[in-house]
Amino acid sequence: MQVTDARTPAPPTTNVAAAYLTIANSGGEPDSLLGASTALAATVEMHESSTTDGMVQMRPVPVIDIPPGGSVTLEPGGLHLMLMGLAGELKEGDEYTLTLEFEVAGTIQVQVQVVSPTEVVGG
Amino acid sequence: MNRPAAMVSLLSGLVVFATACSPVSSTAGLAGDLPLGEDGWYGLAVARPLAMPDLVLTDTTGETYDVRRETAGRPTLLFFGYASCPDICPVHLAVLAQAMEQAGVGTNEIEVVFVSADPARDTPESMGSYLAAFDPGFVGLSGDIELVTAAMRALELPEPTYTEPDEDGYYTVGHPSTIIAFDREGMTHRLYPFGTRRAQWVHDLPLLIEGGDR
Repeated sequence: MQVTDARTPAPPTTNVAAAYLTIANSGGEPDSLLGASTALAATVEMHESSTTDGMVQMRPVPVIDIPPGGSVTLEPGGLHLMLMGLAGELKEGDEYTLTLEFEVAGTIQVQVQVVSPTEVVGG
Repeated sequence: MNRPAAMVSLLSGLVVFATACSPVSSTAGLAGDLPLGEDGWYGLAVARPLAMPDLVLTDTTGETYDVRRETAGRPTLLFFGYASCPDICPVHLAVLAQAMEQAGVGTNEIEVVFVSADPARDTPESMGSYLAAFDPGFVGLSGDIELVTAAMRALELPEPTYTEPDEDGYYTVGHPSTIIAFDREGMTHRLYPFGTRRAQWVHDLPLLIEGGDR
């Protein structure tokens, strides 16, 4: 399981923040992301934004499946992790550790970069 | 120029395609491939201009703000969202704020108005600190949700929706993902879907100030 490009756009308040990343399943069997946690937030939820008729809705997703040999990208306007109850301010240039829990691969820790919100939509 | 199918679905319920009746859904949230139109704009043209809704709410200083009166004679960017939104709102607002800074365009030239679709949680005070993180010149409005909903209806936008609160009381709000540009005459002019990039804003902001083609 390879996790790359883990980023959080610097949030405007300490209320909530999003995390985006790409998960590639190099193994031979299907795997699923079951959840995530970080010392920085009280809870981390998995959500999906979807746009219908120009309206964006967000709903929680119980698991994120990653097919063998495939990858899933968590990105703005789509699947994302939502950090709730932040312990402190997150500023551009900060970095934090996020723990991802997979059904098969177990626990994986990744470093998440806090970036300018402009970066997550490609400049 | 043909717009990609995903773009059309992003906007099918909005003013551009106000007559669209078959709902189309897409999870493709980004509009990074928003092409430069043949008309020289990145922002999408509106087929049928609509007037700035008659909306009077409370701004972040606690003062009454009459949207029509305050924005009269100035191009205006209007966005319905909520401050507890982690994914769409802060990115959309931050990209716009950075583009305005880069283009040297101030809120004295283009008014930016963020209207809360979640006044139960967004107070004038909390919206003030929220918007100050982007640009202290951004106007944040909150107030009676019935008034906000009526304004959205006047712009032919679907009404906001709310999920059931979780055990911590957190809920999410369904809201338009598009920033609506109005011209000096207070008519809808261009649409900027979520995912509009900084460079695309930088290109279009001077056009919005000039007025230009509808």
